[in-house]
Amino acid sequence: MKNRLKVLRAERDWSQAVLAEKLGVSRQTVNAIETERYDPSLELALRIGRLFGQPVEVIFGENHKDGE
Amino acid sequence: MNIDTKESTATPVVLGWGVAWVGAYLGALIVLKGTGLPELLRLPVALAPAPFFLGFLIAMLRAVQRMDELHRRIQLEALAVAFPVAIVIAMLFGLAQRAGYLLNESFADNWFIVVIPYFAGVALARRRYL
Repeated sequence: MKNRLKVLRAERDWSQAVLAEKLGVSRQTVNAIETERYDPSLELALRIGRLFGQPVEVIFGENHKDGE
Repeated sequence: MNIDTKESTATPVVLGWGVAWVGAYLGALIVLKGTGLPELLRLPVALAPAPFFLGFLIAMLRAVQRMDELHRRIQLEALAVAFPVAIVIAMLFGLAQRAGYLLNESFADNWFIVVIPYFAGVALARRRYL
């Protein structure tokens, strides 16, 4: 699934390791989500939404545009 | 839940117990295959690897509990590969024995039919996700 995780992370100048620590997952998991090889669970997606202060559907989905 | 975000801090512990277990297993196998072991000692020697296996099992379960959701999925997919493949191989072994082949082969030493598909499953899942 397409997502804006990499863009949102870059906007905050966080490394994958920093984001992983904040989310309580491994860096490999953050990388797999960013490269769209793994779709997170609803629980993790909600955690990501809370961390970035945005609804899940804004971060994940087919219709978003990078840089919005 | 205490998720391990540093990817592989549990791996050395699991590997350590795994090596100890396999070492104890091979040691027991060698001792049991050798001649001259008193009958009274054969069962204790056969059971000697059990504590190492228990240590490995506990370390593995703790490692799984500390994994995040992606690494748990990798383990699940590895088992989903290993289980049916092991069943098929075991059935083929059994049929080959009934057909008159592999007469001297013992299933007791064929634990690898689960272990090899498991590691193959881990490799496939890691290649897919990581």
